[in-house]
Amino acid sequence: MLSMQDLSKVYRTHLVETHALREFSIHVEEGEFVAVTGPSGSGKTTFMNIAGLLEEHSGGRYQLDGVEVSGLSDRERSAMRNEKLGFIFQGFNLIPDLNLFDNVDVPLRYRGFGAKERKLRIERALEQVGLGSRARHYPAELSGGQQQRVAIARALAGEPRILLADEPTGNLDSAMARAVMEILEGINAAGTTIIMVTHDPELAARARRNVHIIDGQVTDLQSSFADSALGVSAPRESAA
Amino acid sequence: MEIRPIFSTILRNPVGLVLIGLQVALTLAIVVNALHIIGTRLDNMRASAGIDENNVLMISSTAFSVDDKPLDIARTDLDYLRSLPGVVNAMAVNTLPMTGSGWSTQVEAAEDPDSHDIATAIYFADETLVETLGLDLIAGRPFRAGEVTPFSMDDNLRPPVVIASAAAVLDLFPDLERPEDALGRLIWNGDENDRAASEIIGIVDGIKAPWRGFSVKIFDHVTFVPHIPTFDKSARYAIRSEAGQLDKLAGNVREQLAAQNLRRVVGEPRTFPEVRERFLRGDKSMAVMLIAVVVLLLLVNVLGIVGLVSFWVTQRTKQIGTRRALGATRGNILRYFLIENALITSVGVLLGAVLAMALSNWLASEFSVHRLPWYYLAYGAALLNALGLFATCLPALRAAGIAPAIATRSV
Repeated sequence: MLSMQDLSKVYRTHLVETHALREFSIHVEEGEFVAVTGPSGSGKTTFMNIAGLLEEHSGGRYQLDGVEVSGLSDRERSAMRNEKLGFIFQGFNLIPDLNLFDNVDVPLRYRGFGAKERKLRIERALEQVGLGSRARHYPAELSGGQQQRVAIARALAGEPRILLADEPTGNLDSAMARAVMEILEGINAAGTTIIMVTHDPELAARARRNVHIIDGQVTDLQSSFADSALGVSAPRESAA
Repeated sequence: MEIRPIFSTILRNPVGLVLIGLQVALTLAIVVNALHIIGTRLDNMRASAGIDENNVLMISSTAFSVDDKPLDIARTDLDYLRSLPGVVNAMAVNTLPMTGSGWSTQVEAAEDPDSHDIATAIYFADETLVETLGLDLIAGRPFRAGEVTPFSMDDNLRPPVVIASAAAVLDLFPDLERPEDALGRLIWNGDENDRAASEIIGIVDGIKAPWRGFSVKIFDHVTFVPHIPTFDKSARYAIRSEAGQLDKLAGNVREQLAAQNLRRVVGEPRTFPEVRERFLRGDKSMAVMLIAVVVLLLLVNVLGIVGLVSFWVTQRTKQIGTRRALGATRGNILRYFLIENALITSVGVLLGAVLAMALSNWLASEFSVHRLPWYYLAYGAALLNALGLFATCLPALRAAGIAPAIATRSV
C-alpha cells in the first residue's frame, strides 16, 4: 500500500543543510493501523508530508498504492491526494466560512463528482461520525471534538485508501480524544489503512503497529519506549 | 463550478463585498459618465463646422471717420477683396461657426406664436454665401443679389427668405422625412402683435452655430438671412482663399485692406483653423482632464483589489494549503479567487449601473447633457470585470503557489 525505501529529505538554505529524513524505510500493508511516534523535530511531520504527497522527497523511492510518486507532476500529485488519501489534521483545518456540508464537500468537488453523488457521500460521512443532523451548522458552532469528527467525515467522504492523521487528538481533551480514536478504530476495522502521528503513547498503544522516528530514521521501538520510561505498554510490533 | 459555496463564503464575510463592491460601483458610475462626456467632447473635436475650414479667414474693420458710411465701406472693401489674387470670394458677415459669439432668435413653425418653436443661430450672408463659405447646399438656391439688403442695429429681423440648416428644419418640422422637404415652408418670428414669415429657399447640411448648445454638443440650428450687416462703422468679412493660399492671404490681407482706406482700423485676420483651435481648446482640456480622472480611478480600483485580495490570500494561507492537501490543483486555487472576484465585481457592477443611470439622469436634468447610452454601461461593466480579474491575478497566482504542506504547519 505504502512503501518507502532509503528515503531522504533535505532542507537547504544558503547557510544550512538539514537532513529531516535519512535512509528512511517503511512498508505499510493494506488495512494496517500504524502509529508514528517520536520526539519533536524527529521528522514525524516530514514523514507525514511526504507520505501525504504534500512535499517531495529528496532521494530514495516512494511507492503509493503501487505508483512510484517520484516525478509525478503537481497536478498528478493533487489528483492522487484527492483520490487515494484522506487527511486529518491536528488543528482540524475546517474552513470557517463553510457549513459542515460544504466543508465535507470540498475534496469531492475537486474530484469532479456530480451533485447527487456528492450529497449522498456527504450525508453518509456525516452520519458516520454522528453529525448528520448538523450539516448546516458552521465549525465555530461545534466543540473541538465535533470539529475533528467533521474533518474525519471530510476525509472519509472520498473513500480514501489511506487515512493520514497528524496528531488527530492533539487539540482535544481526553474524553474527546477517546471518542475520535474509537471512530478511527472503526474506520480501520472497516478496511481503511490508517497512519497516525501522535505524541500520546496511550493512543499509540491502541494502534496495531508502532513506528518510532528519531533523527529522521526509524528506530527500534522497544528500546525507545523503555528509555522514555513513560510506563505505558510497549508497542506490539517494531518498525519495518 | 463552486459558485454557491464561494458566494456563501462572501456573504459570511461581507466586508470584502462591501469594500470592493462599493469601489467598483462608484468607479463604474463615474467612469462611464466621464467617458460619455469625453466621447461628446471628442465628437466636437472631430465635427466639421460645415464650411471650407482650411480656406476661410475672417477680418474686421472699424472706421472712425464720420464721413464714411458703413454700407459704402463694406461694398468698396468687398469689391476690393474679391479682386485680390488667390481669393475665391468674400462677403460681410456678423459671425462664423465656432467663434463663440453671434446672434440667435426663436422661430416658430406656424403663425400661432404658441406653435412649436426652436432656437436658431443667425448668420448674415449675401448672394455669394455658398461660394464664400464653401457650404453644402443640399436643396434650393442661394440668395439672389436683389434679395440682399443692409441691416442696421435699429432694424427688426424680417427677411422674406432664409436658408436654414438641415438640423434646424428637421427639429422645427418634425413631420418632415427629409430636410429637403422644408423648401417653400414658412418660419415665423416676432411677438403676437407683429408676426412675420420667411420662406425657406435653401437647405444647408452640416453647418454649425458659433457656440455649444446646452448639451455640450456644438449647436447646429442655423438660419442664414440675406442681409449685409452695417453696425455703426464696424464690418467683418469672411474671405475664402483658393486651396492652399490661406496663410499667404492671411499674411497680406490686413495691409492690403488697410491701404484702401486709412480712416479705419483693420484687425488681425483670424484663419478658421485658428478659430476652431481656440473654440475647441476647452473640449481638449476637459477631455484630457477627464481621461486623467478615469485613469486614476481605474488605477485606484485595481490597486484596491490587489490590496484586498493580497490580504485575503495572506489571511487564508492555511486554508489554501488545506485545499491543496485535499486535492485542489494550482488551477483550482487560481480559479477560486478569480470566481470570487468576478462575483463581487458583478455585484458592484450591478449597483454601479444603477448609480451611473442616476448620475446620468441628474446630469441630464441639471446640465441638459444627453442621457448615457446603454452601451457605455455595457463597455464599462466589461472593462471593470476585466480589470478586476487582472488585479486578482497577481495575488491569486501567489495563492496558487502556496504549498500543500502549509496544511500541517501549526502556525
